[in-house]
Order: sequence, then C-alpha cells, then structure tokens
Amino acid sequence: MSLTLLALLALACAVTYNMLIRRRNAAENAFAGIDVYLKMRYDLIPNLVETVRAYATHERESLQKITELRQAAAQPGLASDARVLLDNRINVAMGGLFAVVEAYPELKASENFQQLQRALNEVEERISAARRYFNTAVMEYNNAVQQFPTNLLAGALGMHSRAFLSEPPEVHVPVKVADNLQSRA
Amino acid sequence: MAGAETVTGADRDSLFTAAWEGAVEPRLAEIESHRCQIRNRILLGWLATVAVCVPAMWLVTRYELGGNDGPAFVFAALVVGMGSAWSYYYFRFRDRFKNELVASLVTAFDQRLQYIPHDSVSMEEFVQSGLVREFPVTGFEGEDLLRGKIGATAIRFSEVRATYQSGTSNRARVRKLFRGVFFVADFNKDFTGRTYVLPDKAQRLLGGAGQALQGMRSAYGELVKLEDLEFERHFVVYSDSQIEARYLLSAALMARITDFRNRHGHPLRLGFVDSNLYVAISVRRNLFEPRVFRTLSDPALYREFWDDLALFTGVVEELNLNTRIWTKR
Repeated sequence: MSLTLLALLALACAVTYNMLIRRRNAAENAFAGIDVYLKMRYDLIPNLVETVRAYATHERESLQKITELRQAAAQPGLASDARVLLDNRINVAMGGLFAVVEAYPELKASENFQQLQRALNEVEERISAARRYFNTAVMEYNNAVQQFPTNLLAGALGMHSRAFLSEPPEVHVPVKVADNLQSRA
Repeated sequence: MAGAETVTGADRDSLFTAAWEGAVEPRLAEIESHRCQIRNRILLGWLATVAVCVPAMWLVTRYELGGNDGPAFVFAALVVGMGSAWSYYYFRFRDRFKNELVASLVTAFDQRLQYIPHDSVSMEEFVQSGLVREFPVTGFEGEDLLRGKIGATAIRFSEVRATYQSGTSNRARVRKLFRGVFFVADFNKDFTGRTYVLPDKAQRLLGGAGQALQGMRSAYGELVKLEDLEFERHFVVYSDSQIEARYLLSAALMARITDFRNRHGHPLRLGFVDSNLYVAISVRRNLFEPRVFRTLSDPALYREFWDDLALFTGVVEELNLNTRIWTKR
C-alpha cells in the first residue's frame, strides 16, 4: 500500500517536474524569438542611416547616436535586460529620426527609403508578435510556479516567476512609419 | 458604383436603387416574359404527364403489360421524361438570368469584378488550403465565380459544395463536408507557415475540458492562445508558428474578424496559407438563383443578391486587406 502511494507520488513529481521544465524552456525559446527579430532590425539600421544621410545632411548628430546605439545592441553576449533597455533607447532615437524625416520631402519620396520603412514596419510587427508570445509563455510558466501544488516543487528547484515584457510607451516608430506609408497609398 | 469600399450603411440603399434602375429594370421585361413562358411549359408538362400517366397506368394494369413491374416502369419513364424536359428549359432560363441580370448587377456593384456563372474556385485550391479537412474531399462542385482586384487586393470567391464518403465501400454514403462561399484573397503580409482560425466548438460545448482537448496537437497545428477574450470565445487558432500566428492575427485583425462574425452570423473559418487568406463562410442558401413560380420584378430579390455581394467583397475592407504598409505590395 505504502509502496503504491510512494510510486504515485514519484510519478506526480516527475510529471510536475517535466511540465515546469517544458514551460520554462518555452519562455526562454519565446525570448530567443524576440532576439531574432531585434537582430533583423539592427541589420536594417545601417541602410536606413545611409539613406537618410544622403538627403538629410544636417542630421549628423541623431544619425551618429542611432549608429552608436545599434553597435552597442549588436554586441554578442549582452544580458537580456541590457538588450531590452538598449532596444527601448533605439526606439526613441528612431522615433526622433522619423519625425525629422518629415522635413525632407525628397527623402520621404525616395523608393529606397520607402522600402526600408516597409521592412522596418514588418520587423516591428514581428517583434511585437514575438513579445506577445513571450508574455503568453511567461504567464503559463508563472501560473505553474505560483499555483499549488506545483509551487512546492518549483520552490524546491529554485524556479521563480519571470517578468512580463510590456510594449515600451515611447515606441512610436511603427505608427509613424505606417502613417507615412498609408498617406501615400 | 465607385467600389465595394464605399458601400456602407445608408449609402447602400441609394447605390442599390441606382443599380436597380440602371442595370436591372431595363432588362427585366424580356426575362420576365421568358420566365412566364417556362412556367407555363412546366405546368403544361405536368398536366400532360398526369393526363398520359393515368390512362397508361390503367392500360398497363388492365392488360398486365410488362408483368408486375409494368406500372412502375411507366411511371418512372414519365417522371424521367418530364424531369429532363423541365431541366432543359429551366437551365436555359437560369443561364440567361445569370448572364444578363446577375452579371449586369455585379458590374453595377463594382466594375472591377468579373462574374463567371459556370466557374468556381478549384477543388485543388480548396483542398490545398487545408481549411476544411475533417474528412477527405471525395466530391466537389461549385458555381458563381466572382474575381477581380479591389484596391491592392486580388480576390476570387464562389459558391462551393464539398462532400465526403462515409461507411464501407459496399454501403458508402455521400455526406456534406462544406457548403457555402469559399473566398480567396491575396493577404497583405508575407508569411511562410500555416495558420487557421476555426469556430470554437469544443470550448463552447465542453468548457474547460474542451480547452484541454484543444491543447492536444491538432491536424491543423499547435494551439495558439491569444489575448483577445471575445475572439477566443468564438474561435480557436492553430498554427505551425506561435510568433507568425500573432504576427498575422494582430489585435486589430482579431477585433475585425470577431466583428465580421457577430454582424453577419455565418459560421466562419479562416486560413492563412501560401501568402493567401482563405475564408470559408457557411451559407445554406443557393446564391444568385432565379425563381420560376414567382415574379422576377420584385426588387427584394436583387437586393438580396446585392447584400450578398456586399457581404463577400466586404471581407477586403472589413479585414483591412488593402493596407499595404509592409514589404508585400
């Protein structure tokens, strides 16, 4: 009798352990998904800077700032928190850049710039989708870590709740890009 | 008419009235006379059938012609003969009605649309979309194809009836798999995977247990749990990529799909496959059909066609498919 109970307890622990690991891995995998699209955006920035530089010769300072931020964010081995922080700063800088672009109608009309805007818009939406997936995965992981009885095993394994990623309030880049393209359609 | 995107609310009445007066009414007299001719022929045919059938049956029974099966044979021959004659006349009349009246109504609705009464979305495309795959499709027919480009979005849709066979080969029965309108549109975003939005029957019937069942991997892909609770109440989403499903189903698109479903009330399935959006809208009525025993001069008949056109082409505007701000143009 006691052996049966012990076997059942061991089975329950194994199932719970596997579930916790699965959910933790899903959250990590989801964060890696964001990383992929952030890198895609970093790859677009040099082209954007060069295109803007060709038309907007007086914006050297803001272009320099974006280039520096991009270089910092593209460094390998950056901690996830630092990456999120840098990404937010890039968003703000890009928002400023797109505001400046309004003063250069030739730049806005250039085919190359419009193609870059479209590509950026797409990457922004993919980043947003990856962020939404990350938050869903984190919610499922946090539920398992906080709910009884799975919290007992999670506590023993040193698993803690993870923070959600919120859409940075300063991010206006996709809106501006979309508005610009919509007005041309 | 300027285009489907302008057909909204109160505008629709005046646009329909203009189409009725300009495209339908001038052609009505001839077709209505054709209808009366067909109706009279059909009625006469049935009278003639009865008139021939009664003495023929009496003769066959009286003189025992053809043995025991004689009366049945005579009856079947007369019914088949009458049915064939009825089909011949009816289909000629129906073709004329569709080619003249429905086609001009479609042109008045939106000049960018082309109407082909005897064509449909192909069975290959229906099957490849994977949108209705509970059973393998064994029979497929369709009609009333409409195609064209609304704004930046190429669309085509038609009435479709897909069937499957159940039971063993000895006792096979043909059953309905899907009946309604199958709509194909060039989607405004590039994507590589497959994502499906299906009616959420399991969760509605079984609650939490239904959701647990959905959690198991389906033939449609992996379950995608989305944040929009209203959308989740009506639909279940499967995809082979969690991120791509969220990229396609933005918060705005989810709200639009829910709104479209709530306003029109037809069961709805959507598939994002091969850069296209497929929409299967279940409809029990046969669309764009004439009637033989009632007048064709009633504007209500054409108003129904007009509203159907607005419903199906409205997918483009209601799901915002003309927004082309991404790399796909």
